[in-house]
Amino acid sequence: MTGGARYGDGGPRPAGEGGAAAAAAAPTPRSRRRAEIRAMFKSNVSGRLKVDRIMVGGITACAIIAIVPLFWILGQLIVGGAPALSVEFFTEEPGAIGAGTINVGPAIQGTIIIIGLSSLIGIPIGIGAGVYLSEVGSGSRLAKQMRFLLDVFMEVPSIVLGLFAFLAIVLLLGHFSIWAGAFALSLIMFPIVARATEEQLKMVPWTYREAGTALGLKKATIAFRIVLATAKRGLLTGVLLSVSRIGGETAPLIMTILGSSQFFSSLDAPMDALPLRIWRFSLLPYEEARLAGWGAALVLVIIILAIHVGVRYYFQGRRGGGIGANGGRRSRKGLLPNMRGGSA
Amino acid sequence: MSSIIANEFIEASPASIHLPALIGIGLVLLLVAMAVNVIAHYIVTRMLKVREGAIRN
Repeated sequence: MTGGARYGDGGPRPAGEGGAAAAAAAPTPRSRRRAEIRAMFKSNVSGRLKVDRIMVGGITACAIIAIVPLFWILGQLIVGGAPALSVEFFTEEPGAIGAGTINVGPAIQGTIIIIGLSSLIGIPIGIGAGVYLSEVGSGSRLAKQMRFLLDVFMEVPSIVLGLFAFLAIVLLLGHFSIWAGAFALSLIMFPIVARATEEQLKMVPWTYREAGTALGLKKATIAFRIVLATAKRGLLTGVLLSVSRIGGETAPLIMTILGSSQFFSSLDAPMDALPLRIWRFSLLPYEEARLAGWGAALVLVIIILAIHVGVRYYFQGRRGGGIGANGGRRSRKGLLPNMRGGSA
Repeated sequence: MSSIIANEFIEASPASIHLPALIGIGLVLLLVAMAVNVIAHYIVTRMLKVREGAIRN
């Protein structure tokens, strides 16, 4: 095309070795060349554009389909569970069936206690193991084997972990207790947290660690203040996933915290939890119990969502800063004036 | 299997054979899950190895 534009259609043309191609193109009028190019475009590019459009449409549809169940479930829960909600539903002990409403006060309390306690046990161990796998022993044989075992451990059915907690703690102590439940749930938790931590730490650029070493920082400081802080957001996702996973677990709770109808008395006593309570309600042939079960499910979803949103909001405000850096400004500034904000 | 354990666990008394039977079911469940995982892991690592070799050659 450039040749045609430069020489014009009827303009003077250098004679001689103009080349066969130029000579062949020259007598073609510009409009015909254009039509030719358009045809080429149609046969070549417009087909691709069509495929592109179909693929984009298909993938967008997939994304929408993946999101729809969430809202569907939420809608179903609200429709089914909202009539059960009242102030007493949250604060009172479950009464006898047939004596008016059924309430889930102790179950809400129990769920929050058990999530908190098992997170306290599971998250530090999980993150520590992840740091080991990624920072300390990343290439070693032990780390490879541990990675494999953690993968297997992650897929162990939760009811088996519940049975283990039953055998190891409940039979040993002679009674059901919150400790046993928290132990079982933290067993579910820490392989998930460890693997998620490791994956996130691997994504931190190696140069960050080298920069830390160049500054003469201790290995611990590099691991906890730089690498962990940089990977914080991804870490949070892993931790929250594990928290919601244990929040919905019923099976291991059946044989560890047993369920009860009373409010919290001690960590050494049986306790109720929402998934457990929902399961119990679903076994009962009463309309009220069914309604209360829907309500309890709604409350459980709201608690998990609140934990997610709350934790995310809390950490969004504070960028940089290590884990265990007191969240304070002093320690961060004193340590690394120019190296924060890696996670932003 | 897990539903059997969940549903019958409350009624099982430790004195009888019921509870050990349930724990046995748990053991079988654990073994099945682990076997599936180990096999899956083996397949994945083998595939990765094949791909690595293909790149190197």
